[in-house]
Amino acid sequence: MFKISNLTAYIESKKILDDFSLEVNDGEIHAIMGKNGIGKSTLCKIILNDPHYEIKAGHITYNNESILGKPTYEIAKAGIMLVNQNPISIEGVTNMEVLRTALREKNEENINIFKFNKEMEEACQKLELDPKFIHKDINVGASGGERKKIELLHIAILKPSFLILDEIDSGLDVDALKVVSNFINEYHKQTGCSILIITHHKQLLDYIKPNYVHILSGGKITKTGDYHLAEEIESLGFRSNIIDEDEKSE
Amino acid sequence: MDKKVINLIDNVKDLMYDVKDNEMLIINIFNSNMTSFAINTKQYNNSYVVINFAGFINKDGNINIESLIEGDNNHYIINFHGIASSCHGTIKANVHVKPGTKNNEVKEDLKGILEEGTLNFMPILEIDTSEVKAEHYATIGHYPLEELFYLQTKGISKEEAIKILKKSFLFNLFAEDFIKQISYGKEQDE
Repeated sequence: MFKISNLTAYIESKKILDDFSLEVNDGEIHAIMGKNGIGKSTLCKIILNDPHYEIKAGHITYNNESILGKPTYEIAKAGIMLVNQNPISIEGVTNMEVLRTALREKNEENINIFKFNKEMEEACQKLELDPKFIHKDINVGASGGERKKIELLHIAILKPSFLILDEIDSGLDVDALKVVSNFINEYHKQTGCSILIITHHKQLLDYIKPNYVHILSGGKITKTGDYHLAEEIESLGFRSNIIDEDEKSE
Repeated sequence: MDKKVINLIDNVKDLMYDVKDNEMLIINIFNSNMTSFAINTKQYNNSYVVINFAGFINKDGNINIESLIEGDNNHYIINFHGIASSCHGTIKANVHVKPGTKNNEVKEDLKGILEEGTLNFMPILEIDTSEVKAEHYATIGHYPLEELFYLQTKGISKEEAIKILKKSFLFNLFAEDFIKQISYGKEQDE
């Protein structure tokens, strides 16, 4: 189980999360929706201990172990992987090199190159991604859609048990969105992983059906529902009384 | 144009080249432990010089890269990528374009990563003519935090992430065939 309890976080002197709590049971899919700039992406980075943020209170645990304040790579090694909405590019560092190094660190033994190459090629095929990206520098010269698929290629190889998908739908056309969603659904089915989806749009949730949808407002979750909450947001918007009523009741 | 490629790895001694007319000279240098030394080139007419120079600066010292352009229609580019640790290094790259010359293009691009100690870049352009295109850049910094964070989110320790970024910074000046000859970082790949 992944659990955040009463988390309060700041960037410089600005409070981003205020007594934020969330529980994701094994195998569940949760979606967080909210207005622009409300702290959704920040939440993802805080989970991975991005050094830009300061935690003033609260706890984060994964499988009953505290991960708050742990080095980022240890959180990742525990099985948590973040797919950023704008994956960066790194010149001179290939996907192959990163994945080999990450696998070596994770398994603490030499990897089977034959099996590794086969898995990479199969994942590229599923993702409709040109296999030449395996040997290319990370995200260099890749389109927005290709960047997202490259991140999913990393998931296929590193096999995390908890996925954080930060606006994975941004910059994807309908066809690419279907490919990406199918890949995630298949991965979820095969591994029983948990997923935390950050999105603005219901469309992604049409393809990847969440167990719960949460609304983030004022640094905390103000409303939780099922898929129909996303439908409500889609038709009424975040300015509707879905959020306002909750804010009034605080 | 006659093309000459000179690849040098470690223990590099002082170099001096007179570049002939219509000659293209490419010098690739990788030095895993730089100490004081100098490179001097002289160009006359219609020549092309590229110096790609990368390595570690582990000892106090001065590196002088001097270029003299005496004629017309020459290109000169120096790319330097250095990582300094526990030392005080000065890298001086000086290009002198003589009076009365025309249609020359020169560029100095010096980049450094500072682990410990000090690093002093001196990209100098001595331009004695108005008919020249000249530019120079110098950047000294640390390993990019965003890239370090990204690599760590893949489960790579900070130590290994730095090794990866170090290698990419040093090698991205060079073509694949030259990189294959460099032994630094090979144990990471095996």
